[in-house]
Amino acid sequence: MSIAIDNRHNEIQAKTSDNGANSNEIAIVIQNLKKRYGTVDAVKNVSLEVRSGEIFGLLGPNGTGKTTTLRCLCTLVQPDEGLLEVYGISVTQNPAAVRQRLGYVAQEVALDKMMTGRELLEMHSDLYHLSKAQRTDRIQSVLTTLDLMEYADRLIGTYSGGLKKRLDLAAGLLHNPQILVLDEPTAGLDIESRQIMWTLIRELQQSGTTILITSHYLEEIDALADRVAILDRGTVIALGSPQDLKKSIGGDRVTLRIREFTPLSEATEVREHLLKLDVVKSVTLNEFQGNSLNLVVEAQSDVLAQIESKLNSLNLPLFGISRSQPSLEDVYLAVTGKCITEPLN
Amino acid sequence: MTQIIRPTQSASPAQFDYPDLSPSIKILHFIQETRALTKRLFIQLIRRPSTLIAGLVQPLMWLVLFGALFQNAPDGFMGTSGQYQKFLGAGVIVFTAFGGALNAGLPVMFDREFGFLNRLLMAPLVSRSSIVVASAIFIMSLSLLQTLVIVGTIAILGAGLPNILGILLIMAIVMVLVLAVTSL
Repeated sequence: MSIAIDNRHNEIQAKTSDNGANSNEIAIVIQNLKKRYGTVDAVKNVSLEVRSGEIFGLLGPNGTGKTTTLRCLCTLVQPDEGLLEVYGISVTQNPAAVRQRLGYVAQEVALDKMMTGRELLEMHSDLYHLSKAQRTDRIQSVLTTLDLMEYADRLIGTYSGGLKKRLDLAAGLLHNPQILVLDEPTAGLDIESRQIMWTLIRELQQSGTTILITSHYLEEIDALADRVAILDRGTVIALGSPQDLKKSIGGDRVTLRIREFTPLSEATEVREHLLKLDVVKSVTLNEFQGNSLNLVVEAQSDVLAQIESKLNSLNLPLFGISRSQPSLEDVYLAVTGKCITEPLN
Repeated sequence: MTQIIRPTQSASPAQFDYPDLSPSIKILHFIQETRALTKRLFIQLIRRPSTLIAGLVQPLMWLVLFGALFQNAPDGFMGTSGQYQKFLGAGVIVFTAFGGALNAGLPVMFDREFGFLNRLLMAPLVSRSSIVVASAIFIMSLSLLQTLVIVGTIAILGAGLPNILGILLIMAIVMVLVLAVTSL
């Protein structure tokens, strides 16, 4: 505990000598993080740096160590190996100081349904040792930001899923954390609640909060995050801004569905035909979307026409065809190789 | 990402950051967090009165139903004080306090199950023992309440009321017992 005090003291001094936000400042450092659970390597080797004030997205299929990484960072799990730092403070050596700076909102809500929203927030502010005045002030502020005022004095047991999620986030924001860690904040939310979350996340960033977020909604990360890391089987396999990642895989994308649910044999056959076209660079078969075909094509204007006439000449129907610039989802599919099975040869 | 500057602080570092934690502030913080956690347990109890009622009815059932079984035991079999109700009352009080204390860990286990404990552990608690202390305080108060009801009941059943000093002694014994068992 005495270490914590010294450290805090030093930082306050450091702050007075060096004020002025530095955009190059590093908020979170994770280096060679490893964590095993029994015989399972939950996190094999994760290294990344999050800059101060940015929104950093963590993507990856289920069970690739996103949550474990976050839990290590949030002092809830002791990592086996690796360096974890939050604003230069070691997470393993000085967890108390790190907790003071972090707000963690877990995947599952952590609420007590026998309390009212306000009572829960009051309890949390006591756990963060806010004074009476700060307490009233902060509770008022988070309730307003999350549009929860009218529900504050109802029992949490009567809340809807979206309200619970918002209250959970409110509890994480009470102490004005410098870094907010959100584990799938919008999973299972309706559009309105998601919108509130998005706006809030953006506002928090404006006010200087660093945000580390995981999500399965790729378009969400695409819209929100300044930089993303894609995890697969416990390692980082891609890292960069969404724009750079999208640029790096090149070409335009065409999604083609011959029928709503195309038989595999037919889809494979069409794939062979399409590959003969010059403009088509590659075709992958997406079993998880009713055997639709995902094409990478040259960025030419008449690509769709060429494909359609090809299908016409083969006497095949067309359920849907769409063309787009590469999305983050394409990046994700390209680097993880998940959800897409190469056609059988 | 050429340079890493540290130690650093970004815009408006938590205004609730305390630069120095003197021992007295630590104690104040400890009291604050313990009080908050205890309050939560009492809110649960009041909103879910069935727990409270069950907790009060159970020892009475022991007292009346179970007690009736041995009522006709031979004289002198149960100590020399003679009065059966007094003997039985003491037994049931200890029994109840013991049972309550054994269950003291239950709320913490439930919190763990539902992820609430993680949230508590993420808070910068001065000492995590406040979670256990809150639980102990809660069970202690509950046991004292049960004790009072039992003492009242055996008084009606004919053992007579002990004097103030006697009640205080009983309470002290119950508290020590609960604390001892809870800390297991």
